[in-house]
Amino acid sequence: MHKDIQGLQKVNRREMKRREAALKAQSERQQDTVYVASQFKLTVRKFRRNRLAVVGLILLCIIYFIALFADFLAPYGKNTYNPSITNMAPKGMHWIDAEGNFSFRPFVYEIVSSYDPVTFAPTYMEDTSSKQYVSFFARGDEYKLLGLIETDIHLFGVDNPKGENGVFGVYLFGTDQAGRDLFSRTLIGTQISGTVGLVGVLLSFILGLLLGGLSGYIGGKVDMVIQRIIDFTISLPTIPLWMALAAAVPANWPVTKTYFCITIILSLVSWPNLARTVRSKFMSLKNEDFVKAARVSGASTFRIICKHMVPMFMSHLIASLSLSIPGMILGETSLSFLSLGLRPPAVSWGVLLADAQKFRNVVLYPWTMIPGVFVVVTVMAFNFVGDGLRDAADPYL
Amino acid sequence: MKKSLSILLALILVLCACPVFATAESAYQEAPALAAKVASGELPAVEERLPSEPQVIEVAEVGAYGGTWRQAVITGNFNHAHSHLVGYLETNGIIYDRDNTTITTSWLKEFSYNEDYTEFTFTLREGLKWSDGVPVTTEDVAFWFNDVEMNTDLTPTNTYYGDATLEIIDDYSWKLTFAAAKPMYLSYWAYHGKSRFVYPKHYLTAFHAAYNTEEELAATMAAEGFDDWKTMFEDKINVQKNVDLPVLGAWVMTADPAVTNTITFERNPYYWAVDQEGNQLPYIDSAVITVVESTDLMNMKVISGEVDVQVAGVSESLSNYPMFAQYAEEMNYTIATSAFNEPNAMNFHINTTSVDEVKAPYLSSVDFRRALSLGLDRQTIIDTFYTVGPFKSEIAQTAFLPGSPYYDEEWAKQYTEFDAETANAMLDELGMTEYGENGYRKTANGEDFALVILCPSYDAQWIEIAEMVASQWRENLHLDITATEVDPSLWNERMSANDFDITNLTGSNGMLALSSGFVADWTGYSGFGWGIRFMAGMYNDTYTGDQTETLTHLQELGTTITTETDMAARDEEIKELIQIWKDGLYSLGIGTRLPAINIIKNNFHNVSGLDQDWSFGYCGSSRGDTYWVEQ
Repeated sequence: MHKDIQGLQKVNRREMKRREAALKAQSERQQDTVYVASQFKLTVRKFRRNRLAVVGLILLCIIYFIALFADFLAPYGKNTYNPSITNMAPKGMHWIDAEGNFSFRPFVYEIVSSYDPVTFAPTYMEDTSSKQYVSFFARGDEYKLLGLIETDIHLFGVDNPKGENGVFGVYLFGTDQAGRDLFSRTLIGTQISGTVGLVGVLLSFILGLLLGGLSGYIGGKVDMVIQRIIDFTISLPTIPLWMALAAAVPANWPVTKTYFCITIILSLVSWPNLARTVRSKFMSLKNEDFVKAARVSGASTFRIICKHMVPMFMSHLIASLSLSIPGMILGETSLSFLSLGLRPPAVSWGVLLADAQKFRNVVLYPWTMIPGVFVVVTVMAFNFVGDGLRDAADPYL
Repeated sequence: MKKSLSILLALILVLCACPVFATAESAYQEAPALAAKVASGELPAVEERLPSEPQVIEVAEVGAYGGTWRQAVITGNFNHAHSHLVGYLETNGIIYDRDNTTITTSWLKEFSYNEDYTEFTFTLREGLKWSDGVPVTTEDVAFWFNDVEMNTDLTPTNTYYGDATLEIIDDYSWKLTFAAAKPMYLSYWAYHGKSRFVYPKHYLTAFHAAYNTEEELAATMAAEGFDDWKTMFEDKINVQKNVDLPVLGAWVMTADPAVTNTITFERNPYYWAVDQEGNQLPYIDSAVITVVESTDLMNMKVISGEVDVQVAGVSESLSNYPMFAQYAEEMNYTIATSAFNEPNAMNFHINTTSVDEVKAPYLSSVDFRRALSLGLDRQTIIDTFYTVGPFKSEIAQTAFLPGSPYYDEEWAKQYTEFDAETANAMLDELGMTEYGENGYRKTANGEDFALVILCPSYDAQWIEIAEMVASQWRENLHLDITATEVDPSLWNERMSANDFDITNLTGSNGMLALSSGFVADWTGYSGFGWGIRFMAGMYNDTYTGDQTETLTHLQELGTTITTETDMAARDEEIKELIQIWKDGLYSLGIGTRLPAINIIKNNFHNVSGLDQDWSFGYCGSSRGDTYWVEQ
């Protein structure tokens, strides 16, 4: 009985809260500010109400912050080999030592390597009698912060990695076959995975919007020419195109440069779909009353397009953009068979995941799959934000 | 009474003697399944099926009949598993013996040759039969020579038998006479799949243009689904494709590899070898080769215990040892290691014949190559990539292995110590004293100097090793060297176009088995000492740089070695060749090859000789026909 009343109270409380929120929203809507608010303000307001989208946006900010300062945040360089700790499971920091004493400053134990006498698998023991505190702003591998400032200071690390019998170090995600720190590689991989692919996506977006818009708005001969270009571009078979590119790209280019070029070239052939959609939108909109009204009011073509027409189908554009970004990240390595995708020695999430898919790593070294978590989180964050933006872009719906 | 007694005695004697006679008469035993077929009249008796003098093999354990041998193989490599199973003994009349050095016979009875190496005489085992029971005679030899080797449709240019004539002596003997001396042909014939000598004429004439009218041939082609007779014939003589082809191997293929991924084999009732107690081989009844898509699926087959004796597809990766070992006890198999007779774990071949104006003076300079070699911290590379448990590669240059008659310790160890100081001094001496803005050395003329290690994507680990080597050169020698991975087909193209600086690759023939396929084939990729040897054959026509003299000399030396009949002189010539390799340091090595790993089910016996050396066929001299399964 008592429980029932409690339950009822809880329901009531929840109901009250909901009503309060509804009232508040209503009052906001009734306020004059809503009616005079610019579309941008309305969009922001609606976006902020979508919690998932906000979380997604925060995650994306974090990821891009990581990408910007990866070399500083990562304790090691992307290709810092360490033969004495190959294929090691994650070994993190400790706060409580073997005797149970708590230390506010994290520390690591000396890692002593050996191998299993039967399976010959490497084994790594933490020697609890030998410990070293983790230093913040520790000196390690040299790098260029933001590509400009030469430094060797990392957010954290150990000062003396060489131990008497083994090594000291923080390996949060474990190491790979060459003893490279997977945590550092994952962070540094963010730089390529979060940027190179996006350039191509953006470029094809701009091209599609521009050419589709021109074609739909101006019509006539311009439309005719652009549509034939689209027909031609769509009819290009992609695999032979890539093969030709593979042969044309100079071999002494670094992998990232090759990949960057390829994404740009890919964007040059992938814009027609968006262009067709944009064109049809423009054609249906250009005879609407509000567009005619703008035109007779003497608005310039550019202003009509930007202010009056594009916002009408912004949601569609955002959705198509946010959906193509995850595809780009996951497709990083898909062209590797033609030597066009990302491959080692470049470090990206795609490269790290290609390594994790090997059967041996799945069976013996499952921690190589940790970078996959980052991909999942990023892709979801992009989708949430895209979803939120799409809803927010139509504030009157 | 006396009479009846003697009759009784005689009767008893006869009764007792019968079984005694039966066992005494048959010196050979056969598998129970075959014995049943003999009893039912389906097959002739074992002594009639065997040659009058079958090959007798001293096996370690006389085995019991029965069982199935399962193997798996990655798509496209069917020939590896097939070679391990039957290929080597199937196709080779002449083979390397199990010690891998002496040359002996398989289904041939004997062979001899004259001092000039121009006449080779061969004799078949009398009574040798194809797997369908038809006797093998010199008719089949004549068919092989006249209708296959000398047929201009099937063999447009005959490199090996172009100057040969065949003389049939009798039903079992023949003589091959060559215009020029062929001192390397014995080892060439013993090389895997090269001493074919016979084709089943009785079966193949139906598909051959010389034995059919055009209408007949057209009808056969229509029935078999071929457009031209050459393709049809090549398909029909291919033992790895045609299930109907009569064979000489221990097992006969019974499922068509074109239609199934599970290719089955049944014992050949006419197989020509017995063990020391007269048991007809093979011991194992049947074999299965399952074709899988990828290395990952192959590894899965191993750890789920679905293969019995497996070499193909697993032997190369010792780093899989921990994974296989984890399941060894549960799945009842043993991981055996065997020698890997490759000259080095990884060879870095430097393009001495580069045509790039800026790079060529350095790539063709031996001091530059020596500096590169000294600038490598090989121990770190070995600790990282070539160490598995107690197995550790040993620092070495690309050279013949200890155990080879041409092993030279000085060669194997030269310039392998890590000495960045000397290396840098050598580079300074070459005039590379100026540094660019990127911190890397410039050429003596002040031009930017950047090299690329071109790595073919045969194995995912190769590029990692190449990158490590490149990073060491960048750090230790301040040379702008990067590594890049390309698809094998693109890599091939770049190689033939002489468009590369450095490339890394594994190689074969660390023991220098002197098959002519080794020294005479100048254009092969995988062979030993590849760098300069390959270039000599490849670019001699187009290349006009300062290495021309060396290339021409090498090519001449190669020809001399393959035709030299005086063995002592040949020895000297090989040593001269080695001296050129040694002085030139054309290929840099890292360390010795880690051993190969093989998977052997615990109930399989007599499994030995699995050393990896392509000169002796896929599985060295392991004889699958002597394996037996404990039931």
